[in-house]
Amino acid sequence: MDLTGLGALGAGISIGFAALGTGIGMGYLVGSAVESMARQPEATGTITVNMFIGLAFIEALALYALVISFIVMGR
Amino acid sequence: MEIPHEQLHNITQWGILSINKAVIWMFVAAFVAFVVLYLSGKRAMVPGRSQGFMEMVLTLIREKMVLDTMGHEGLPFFPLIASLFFFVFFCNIVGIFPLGHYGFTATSNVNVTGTLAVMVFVIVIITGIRKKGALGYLKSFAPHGVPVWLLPLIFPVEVISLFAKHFALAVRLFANMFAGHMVILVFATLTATLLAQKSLLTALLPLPFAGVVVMLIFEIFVALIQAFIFAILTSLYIGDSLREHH
Repeated sequence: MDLTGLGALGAGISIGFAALGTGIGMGYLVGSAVESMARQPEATGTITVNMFIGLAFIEALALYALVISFIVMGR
Repeated sequence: MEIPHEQLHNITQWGILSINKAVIWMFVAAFVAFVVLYLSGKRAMVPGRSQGFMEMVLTLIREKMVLDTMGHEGLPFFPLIASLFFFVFFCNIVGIFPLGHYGFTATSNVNVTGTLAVMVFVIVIITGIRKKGALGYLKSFAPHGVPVWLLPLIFPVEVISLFAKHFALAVRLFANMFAGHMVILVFATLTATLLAQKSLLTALLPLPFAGVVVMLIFEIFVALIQAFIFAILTSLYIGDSLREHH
């Protein structure tokens, strides 16, 4: 059985699902950050910095999948 | 992965050390950072436009990154954080210029970001050991208030999370710069392909070209944000090993 190309398929599927979950998480984070900024405009600076830190942590999850898809793609 | 724009083109090689495109562009980035900081660092009593801007940036780094995450204990690390910020930022920004196959973003190579992350990792561990002692630093991996029977589970998880944090630090910067350039490359290739076509499809040319323009603007923003995130996560991790654990 010829299995070449299944690696590319797996890579695409893994990064796709990772982006799906990460997108939902980022949506929740940015949504509530904007909401709290609208309620308390004087705290905008602190909220923005913390939001970017949180975004970086959420983003890391998608990046793990990206690394795995790089590894899988070569197979 | 065989991407012509990402090949390194070794110029000279001694063992595992070599001078290649990434090294040269890192030198360029360091030089540009030096020139910018030197020109705007005249220390006039009444700051001009560039000095005022640079003072604003440095104050932002000092207040928002260093003091907010590490407190006054972290002030000795301010030069490190500021250097990391400017180096990563200029590495990202000099790579944006479209210079054919001469142009290169040093941070879109995983070896460069890996080296930066290993450096941060060593600094974090040395800081923790100097602050709490070797045994105290080991103890900080087991948070207070955790039942004893859970410790064999918590301790490996905390150690793995230490390694994963710094691994993610390297991969985040690399993946962001690499993916952004790939997207620009895809749009640019589409533009070139449509330009070479002698058919009605050439009428679609403005769409991928607008994509190139929009992505380039977005990449400038990403270069700034990623440098900011690299610097602030570094100070967060150093602050973690400075602080007494919960």
